[in-house]
Amino acid sequence: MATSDKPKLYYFDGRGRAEPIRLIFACTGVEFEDIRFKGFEEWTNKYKPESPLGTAPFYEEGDVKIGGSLGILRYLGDKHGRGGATPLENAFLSSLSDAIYDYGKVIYPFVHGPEEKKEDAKKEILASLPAKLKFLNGNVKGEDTFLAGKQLTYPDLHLYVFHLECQEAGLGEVFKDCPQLLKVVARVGSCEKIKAYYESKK
Amino acid sequence: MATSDKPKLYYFDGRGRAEPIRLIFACTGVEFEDIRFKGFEEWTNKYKSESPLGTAPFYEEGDVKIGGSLGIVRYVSDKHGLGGANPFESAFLESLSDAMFDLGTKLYPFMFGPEGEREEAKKSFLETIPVKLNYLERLVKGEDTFLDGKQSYPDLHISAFHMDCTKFQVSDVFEDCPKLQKVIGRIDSNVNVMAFREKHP
Repeated sequence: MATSDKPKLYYFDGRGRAEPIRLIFACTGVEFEDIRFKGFEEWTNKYKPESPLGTAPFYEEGDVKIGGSLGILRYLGDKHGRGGATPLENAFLSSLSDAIYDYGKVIYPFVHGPEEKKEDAKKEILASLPAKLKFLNGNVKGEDTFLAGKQLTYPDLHLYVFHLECQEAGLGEVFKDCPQLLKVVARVGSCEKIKAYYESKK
Repeated sequence: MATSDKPKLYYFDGRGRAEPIRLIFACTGVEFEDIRFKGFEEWTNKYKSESPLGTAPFYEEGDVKIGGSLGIVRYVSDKHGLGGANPFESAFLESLSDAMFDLGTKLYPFMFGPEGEREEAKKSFLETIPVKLNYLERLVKGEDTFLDGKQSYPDLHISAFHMDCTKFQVSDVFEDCPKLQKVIGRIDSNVNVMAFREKHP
């Protein structure tokens, strides 16, 4: 397959909004071009005007470009067998992913905000996020060790990345009342292809 | 059909995040129970603990509950013929709707924020939103619909967003977007949508 035939993902050189998408490719073995901007200037001057919505990540397949990480995630999750079996199941999976995206936004002021505001930001996060995560935890039923049951689906990858971000930011305690979620994270982390992906990034 | 057989939508008594969903039902004529909380207390004390994700709106069909307005919009649209014809078209429509959801979020600081900060928030909105709307303007493929020759849910979503902008006197942000205005105009003049809005201004 010529390079130009592979789908392309465009994003900054970091995990951010693109990582769950990259993990779908990693865990399914589907090839793609993982295009990473050389700095903010390359985004603003070169790629932003070409992007469909002025946002990153964006995805290109053939001559169509799609913006918005969540839509890309759902599309690729379905396309590569990591989605739901029915429309209602898909709606349920996307609700989990959308919720995790919102939790990601809650930690941004702390992870990326100005130093002097971090202490307050952290307090707010620790006060509000555990309760929200508990709702998510409640959706994992019984002995199922993935969010939607026995099979890995894309919200599991999304949760894995979010947990990683929390851990690295010293916010791991937001998961304190979420034993089911931690089981899901452990299960994703022990997938051979996910392990290999993170090994290759070291 | 017994009342309990209709799907149910649970939200506050206002447009907010539920409106695009309600417009889908209005536009397609599909019946649903439009459950509106009597005040914030009824949400906190009664419905929140029953919700799947602690958020509103949430949707109930049979014995399944789904949280998150965007997922509900997509599901209900696909089910009732306002979705994409194939996965890629669906992904395109979703990107539009997700972008509109983000624009809706930008209204909140001056719709609901602290009094003293609203003027500043409104100024910031008027300055930053037109550029973002321009990206959406570029993506309108039909005469007065996002998809060429076919109605889809982002048409309703932009109409709902425009309605919010109008009520808060910031609809000027649309002035350089003639195509979006046509999309909005088409939905605003839909008789079912107009009838719905008569009942719930």
